Amino acid sequence: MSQLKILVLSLSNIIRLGIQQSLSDLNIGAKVYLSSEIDSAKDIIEKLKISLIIVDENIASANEFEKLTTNPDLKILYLSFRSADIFEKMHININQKELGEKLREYINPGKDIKNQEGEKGLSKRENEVVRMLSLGAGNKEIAQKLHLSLHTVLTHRKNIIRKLGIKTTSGITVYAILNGIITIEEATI
Amino acid sequence: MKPFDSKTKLAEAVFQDFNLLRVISRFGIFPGFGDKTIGEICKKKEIDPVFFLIIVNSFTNKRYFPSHELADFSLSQMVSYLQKTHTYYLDFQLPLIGDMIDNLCNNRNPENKKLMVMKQFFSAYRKELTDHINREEKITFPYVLRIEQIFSNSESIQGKESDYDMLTYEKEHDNVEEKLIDLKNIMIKYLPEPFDHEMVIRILTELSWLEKDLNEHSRIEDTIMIPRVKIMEVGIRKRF
Repeated sequence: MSQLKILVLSLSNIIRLGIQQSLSDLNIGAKVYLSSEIDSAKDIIEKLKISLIIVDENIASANEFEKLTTNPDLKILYLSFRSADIFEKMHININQKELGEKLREYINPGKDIKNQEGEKGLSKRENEVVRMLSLGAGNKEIAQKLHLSLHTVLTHRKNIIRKLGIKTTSGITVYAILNGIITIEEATI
Repeated sequence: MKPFDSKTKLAEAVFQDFNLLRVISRFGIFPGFGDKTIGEICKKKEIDPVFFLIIVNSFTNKRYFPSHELADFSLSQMVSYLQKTHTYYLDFQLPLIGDMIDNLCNNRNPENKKLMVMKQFFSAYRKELTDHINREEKITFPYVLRIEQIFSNSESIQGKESDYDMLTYEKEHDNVEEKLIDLKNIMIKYLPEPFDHEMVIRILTELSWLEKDLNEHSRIEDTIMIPRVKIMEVGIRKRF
């Protein structure tokens, strides 16, 4: 799973640093970049594969801003000084808790965090995916052998990471050995 | 919390965060400093108090950011500090944890063959961190020092420096701690019995310290070193 990268774009130094601090306090593991002008923002977005821009509406109203919005995967959250009347806007007076909720909704639309709690252990299918991953199989190979679509394999992988709290493939391999899913002789770490 | 200044007694700072002892040891300061202030100790040890305070304050307070006038220290000083922390990881902290993990895995009593995999996983992490450190030592730090030199001598950038910049470094500077977090997670949640419980707690203590220290190390790089080098890069480019 790739790290969430957020670019904060505003003319105001105080706003940039304020948002950076609030994001860091949320502890969501996001990497935050700051920019005050569109050209350098464009550079950062392309080179660093930014997934979300938080932009102050003063800068978003400039014509050149459209240059930044050509990538459909890039999400944009507008910081508004007047009203946050649409989902894509947040008001400057947003509090810390609301900011956390806003980002969660924004990054994972439709996912209710509360529903995910209480899930324990891996399903039979997820265990099979863990086994194959630990034996060194890639996504495509897993899809073929288990007769799944690539998309389903990726979903299983995401769920495994979330349930176990283990991100790296070598970490998952260690888990598989410790839990007897594969033997130490079968694995390469 | 008020930041420490040169009149703060060093002992008082250490009382606030015991782990500071591990940080100040990199400046050659060890317990036994009595009631001396930070200013007095720096003078005696010929350490730049401005730089020392940046390190100590940013270590004890996550929100600390040096004010403008304080940011005027040399990058070579910063690089030399970062190199000392690298040496600490490579020569002290990683071998220490490595020995403890060997001890956990090789322990015949209780016997648990599965634990051997922890040793392999730690070696993989150790190699990854070592490679990351070597890359910084070979490429990033020399680049930073060169930029500072070019900036202060009003030279212009030519040749190989222009292929590498701080943005490239920022891009690479991700996720060295993923395996470390996995290692901690596995030891806390998934270690199968039997094992030496006391040893696992001690390993986790040292892994957590390494994690905090690494986070602090990269925070200094990200919030203090990178922005300063970037300002210099812009300044140098404007000379054309």
